[in-house]
Amino acid sequence: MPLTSADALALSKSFRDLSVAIGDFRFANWDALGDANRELLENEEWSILNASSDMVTKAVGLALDESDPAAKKVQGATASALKAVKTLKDISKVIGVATATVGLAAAVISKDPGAIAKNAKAVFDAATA
Amino acid sequence: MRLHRSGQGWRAIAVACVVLAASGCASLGAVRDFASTSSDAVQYSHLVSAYAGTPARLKRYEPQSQWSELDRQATERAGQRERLLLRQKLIQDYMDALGQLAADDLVSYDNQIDALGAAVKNAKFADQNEAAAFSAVSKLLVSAVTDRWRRDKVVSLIEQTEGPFQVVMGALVTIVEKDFGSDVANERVALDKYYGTLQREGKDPAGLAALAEWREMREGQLRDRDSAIGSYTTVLKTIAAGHHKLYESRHDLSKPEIKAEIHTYTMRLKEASTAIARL
Repeated sequence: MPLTSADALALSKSFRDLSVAIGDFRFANWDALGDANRELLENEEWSILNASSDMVTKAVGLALDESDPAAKKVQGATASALKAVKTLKDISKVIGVATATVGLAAAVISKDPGAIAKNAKAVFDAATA
Repeated sequence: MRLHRSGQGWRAIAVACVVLAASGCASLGAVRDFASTSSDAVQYSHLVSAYAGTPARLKRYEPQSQWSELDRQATERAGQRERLLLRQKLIQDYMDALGQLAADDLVSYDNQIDALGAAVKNAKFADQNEAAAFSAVSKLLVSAVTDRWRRDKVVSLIEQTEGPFQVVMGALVTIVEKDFGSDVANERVALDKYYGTLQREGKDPAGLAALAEWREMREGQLRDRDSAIGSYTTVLKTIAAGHHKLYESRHDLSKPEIKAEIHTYTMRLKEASTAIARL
């Protein structure tokens, strides 16, 4: 059965508790242990504590992996929402183009080349804004 | 085409549009504020950096024989750091998008429509009264239709995201509260072993006093990290609970009592963010 993030976290706590227990024993029997045994125990304590730290790393990695499919769905929903925002902004742009087009129509009716050019530019600007 | 209509006709259309606009108009200000506050609050990278840096800090305390293992963990955590920050960014981006969709000014086209009315008048397609009526009716129609469309989009966004959003937030809460909490607990054990051993072996009173001060300083740093973990967990849990409230109330988001409830989540987020900023 594969390791889950919860399993890794539980193992991390077990390793930490074991490292603390050995440390407590080392301090409680400081003189009786002698230098060599103290050093041996201390090294074991660090190895077990690092195993605990490794299990924390595994727990984080597994929690990220386990939630990846959901994260992709949230990412997709975010893209849809931004598309909707863009659509609403585009409505504003359409109105701007319509406004400019009315001015162009009036200029064409008046047969004024200067006004036609000016209003044609306004339509272009509105459409490309 | 000339816009010839009797004044009475325009009035009838205008009244109809007022009814349409009133029925469709919805202020989503509370949703926007919650989304914007969530987006700001979730951007806190300090804890992720502290987690990634733990193996390097443990080297202070551990014998050289353990360093290769700590280096390996540091490399693994550096890769996770990017993924964790991207996960926070995902929540931020989602909340930004929700906030933008809920922004009231998004569906205000008044200026453009006024300009359209003026253009119609200037083009002699309509007289002054007709142009004004044209603007008023257009404004109401466009607002009502787009506002209704926007509200539907907000509801559908919240509806489709709620499930995966809770999974992502749940995973982040576990990582921050439990995993980062365990990481601090491990560092505290390392600190106790290191200073405990030195203090046990030490004979010089001045040296022992200095050691005690250093130990106290390091313990203070770990306490601060514990507090930050607590406050950031509150931020994440409040964002998750607030989103769930939005989901539960998605069809009544403009009701005053629902707005008030969403506001309480926003205030709680601000308080937790302030607590983090004080650290």
